[in-house]
Amino acid sequence: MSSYASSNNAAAPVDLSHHLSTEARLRKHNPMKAIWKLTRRKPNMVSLANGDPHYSLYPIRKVEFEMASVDCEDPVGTWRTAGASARSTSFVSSSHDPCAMPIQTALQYSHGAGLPDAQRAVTELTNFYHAPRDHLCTLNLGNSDGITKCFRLLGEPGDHFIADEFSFSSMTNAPLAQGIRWVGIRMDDGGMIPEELEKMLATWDPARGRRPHVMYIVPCGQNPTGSTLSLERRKQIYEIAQRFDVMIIEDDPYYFLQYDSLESETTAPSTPFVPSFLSLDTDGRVLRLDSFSKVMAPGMRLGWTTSAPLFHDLLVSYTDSSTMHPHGFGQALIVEMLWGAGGWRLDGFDRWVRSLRAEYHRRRAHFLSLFARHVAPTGHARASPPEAGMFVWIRVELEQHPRYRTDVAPAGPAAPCTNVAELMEELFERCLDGGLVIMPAHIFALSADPKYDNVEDPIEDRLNYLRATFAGTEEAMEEGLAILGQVLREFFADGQKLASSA
Amino acid sequence: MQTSEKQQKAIDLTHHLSDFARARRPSPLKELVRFFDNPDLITIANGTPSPEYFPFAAISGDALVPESFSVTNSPSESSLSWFWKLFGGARKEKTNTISIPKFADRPGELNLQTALQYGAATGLVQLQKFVHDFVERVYQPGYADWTILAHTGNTDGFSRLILTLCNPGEVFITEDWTYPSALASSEPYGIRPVGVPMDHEGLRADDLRMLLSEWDEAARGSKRPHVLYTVPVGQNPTGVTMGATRKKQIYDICVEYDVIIIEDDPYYFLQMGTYAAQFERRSQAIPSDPETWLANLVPSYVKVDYQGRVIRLDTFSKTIAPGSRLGFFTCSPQLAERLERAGETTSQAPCGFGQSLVTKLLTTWQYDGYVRWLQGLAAQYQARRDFLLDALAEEFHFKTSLGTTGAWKGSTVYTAHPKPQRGATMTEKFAMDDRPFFSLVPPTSGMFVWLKMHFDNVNGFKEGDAQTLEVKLWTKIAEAGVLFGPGRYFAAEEGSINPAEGHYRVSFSSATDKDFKKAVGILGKVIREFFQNPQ
Repeated sequence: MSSYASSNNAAAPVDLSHHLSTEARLRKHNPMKAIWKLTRRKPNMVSLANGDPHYSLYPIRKVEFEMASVDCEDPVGTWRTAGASARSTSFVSSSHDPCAMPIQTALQYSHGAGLPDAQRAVTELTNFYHAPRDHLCTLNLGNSDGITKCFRLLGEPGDHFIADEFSFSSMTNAPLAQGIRWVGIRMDDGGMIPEELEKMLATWDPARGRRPHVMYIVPCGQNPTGSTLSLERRKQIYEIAQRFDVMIIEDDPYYFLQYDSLESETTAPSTPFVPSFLSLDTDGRVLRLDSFSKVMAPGMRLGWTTSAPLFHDLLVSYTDSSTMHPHGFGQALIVEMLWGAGGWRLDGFDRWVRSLRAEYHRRRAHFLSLFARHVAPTGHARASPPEAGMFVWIRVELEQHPRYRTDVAPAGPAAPCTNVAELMEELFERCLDGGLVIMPAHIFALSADPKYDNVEDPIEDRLNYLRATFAGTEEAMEEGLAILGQVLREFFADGQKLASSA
Repeated sequence: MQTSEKQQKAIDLTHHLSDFARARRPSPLKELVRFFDNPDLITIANGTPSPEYFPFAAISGDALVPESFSVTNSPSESSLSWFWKLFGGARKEKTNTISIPKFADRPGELNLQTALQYGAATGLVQLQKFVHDFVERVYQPGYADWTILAHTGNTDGFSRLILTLCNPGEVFITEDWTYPSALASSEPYGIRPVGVPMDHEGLRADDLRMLLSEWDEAARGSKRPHVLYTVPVGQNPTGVTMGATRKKQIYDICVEYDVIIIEDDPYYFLQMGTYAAQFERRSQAIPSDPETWLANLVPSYVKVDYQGRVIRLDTFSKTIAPGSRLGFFTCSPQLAERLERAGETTSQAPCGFGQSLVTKLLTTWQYDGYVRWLQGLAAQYQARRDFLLDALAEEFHFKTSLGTTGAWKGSTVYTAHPKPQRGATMTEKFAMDDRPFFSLVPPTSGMFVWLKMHFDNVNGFKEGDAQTLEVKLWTKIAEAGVLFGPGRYFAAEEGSINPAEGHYRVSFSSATDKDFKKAVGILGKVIREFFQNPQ
């Protein structure tokens, strides 16, 4: 196990090994990978130990990625508008031509952290954007893979994990089978409310089980609400996590999509990114997930987890005996991107992501103007403009609906007293009938536990939201919002008729 | 899907699912996919980035032609052909450029817009189609509604399976010697292996039956195992291969005792025939055409599977490249559904680069080309095996005998004795200690030679020393610059190994011929000294 030897002289890091699950403690290093490491230790070592095919037997001798050129102010805009005539550059991984990562290296077995050069590539990106204190990067197969591995590393059956009360359900769903339950924390337009987090932790009833020791959070352009935590809130939440000894899993796929205010025509390249939890982490309690899915392409299935060395080692062991390391093609790509002859280099990557957010800034503006034209005039819904990400959280003003009721008899504490859920289901169906798919809030809601949570205002009464995205085509936005406006008008007007037939 | 009228559909085996697999729900967003796929609906629901922002214009690769490797086995050429390819002939290699454009020119064409978007965990449609056709023609599953599902390699496949089938505290059946990564995947969940003795064909049917019929739940502390994990071809680590009759016997026992079979078969296409000593080796008058070659391979368990109780794991790691991290399950639709759920919250779909490049390669080669490639690959591995064994035969004095006991009964066993040194007189030769160092049975498939060490011939050997000697000698060989797989790594259960024996697994898959010579030279030198003086 790595020691916590720190490169600087800051305060001693905290021993956080008590957060590990039984499963993680029981997991041994895969013995085959131990041999693999030995072969790397000594030059001229002949290994007849592993079942790797000789590279002359791989049928692929060269892979060439034809990529957008980043040698201009606004590479994304240029790439989008120039079409087939757009300037490009090649990242080449070859068996015979000089390159940063030869294809025979990329296509071999390696170990769970990834190939050393690929690990170095993501470390360079991480150091540039987050300058973490004493952390290591482990490659993974994309954020879902990275996050579920963190869940298994830290979660014991019966544990409660913390998340925003509206959370990305694919992720909150993943550890349920493992016996994890969720505690949702109340949010506002600025994301998770630190005081609510503190209250939950301070008043935790031990009868409910171990006090939550893991938080899953999306700090930028949160999925689904689009909210972004301010630096102030991040500091407060981190301090609470320290005080109550909570680990933070920071899932940040929209980090690079942070925008200037709505009034600005675009997001300036110089606008800084809000510091991540990772960059605030002095204890080693943050495990941060980064991904290429939103800034390059989701099908790359390549990302990385940045954590304290202890967790890095265990993630590597787990990877070796589950998914294994990510594919070689993506590892070759990122190495060639940073150091290859046709590569973007770090400054080119930085230009790409800053120019990409300017594009999404334009899309956000387009979405909001369409919303203002088609939906806002109905008076039945309003949108919270996001500061980051791809999502707009739309509040449906159900209180004005003729069939809205607040006198549904509650079935106990924390039980709903409105018919919001029912009305929203009807609205979703009406949208489908109208030809529109839009995400209903109930998919993302984490319910309270009526036995312990004395909730005045249960989430079931606050499901009157829809998640829309400006990531799709402009035609889809235009048509989609027109349908939404129309459906809302009919839905709010039609109340009488349906009420009588009910 | 196969439509043979004689075949029945998979039977319901869902009672084998673990509590964990039952508790897994579909990802709620994936449930909405049926709406997203409806072209009549506009969606502003999904966070899928617009492909116009993918910085990729195209991905292309230089791919070898399927006939790159000769299938002839003339002793003068074959063992060196790969050597010349490497060091002399790279320029002579014939490659074709394969390319995947960002946007399809015609419907159904492979394209990056799709391959690099979020995709269903089942894999690209074009890949599924190729693989399905391949499985149908090559493995010929014995029931009607089998299906395939992509995974990111057999280790991923197995780790998904073990959690899908076994609850913590359960045991599963393996060969006595088995693949340690499989054990490393299951151990943290308290799911343990129980080993069954092997012979020259691998897992013994009689011992399997005995284990199952005499299972004592109270004494063993767990219920009778309902999952068998097996590597039937070029078994890892022992190198043995199981024929059709034995597979049928084992399958029938598994039907009788309701056991699911996990067939991990990465070396299936590396079946290479019997080893003949160099001086006896003849240029085989050539060899069969690819179809005949294929038809002569031992059948897969899925061929005898009429109920859907076999889950076959295939990988492109050994046939294309390990870094492609791509493989697939062949199994019943019920199990495939649970395995897909297990995949969609973890690794999701395999990487789009690998999927599209491998698919493009396979569809360019086409079925016949891929089979020809595999046949050439088998010939390459045969040459490598022969080269390693020839080098050992030069370094040691091999005596052959018919195996009479245990795992080697009926096989030709090669026993390595000290070789008389050049220039020794007759008297010296006569006086020399001729006791053997190790024995092996040349494998007929796969990548591994399994050395059984005769540590009882080490100077001053005492009962019970074998385990320490295995570690000691391994360390000495490693210090001299050669790595083997230590035998003990591969033991299913500590207790089941004969304490008087030691083993090493020697792989012939990746070294160059120069390395083989060097390694064997080092082995000879270290082993001679060690047997004289083990300190």
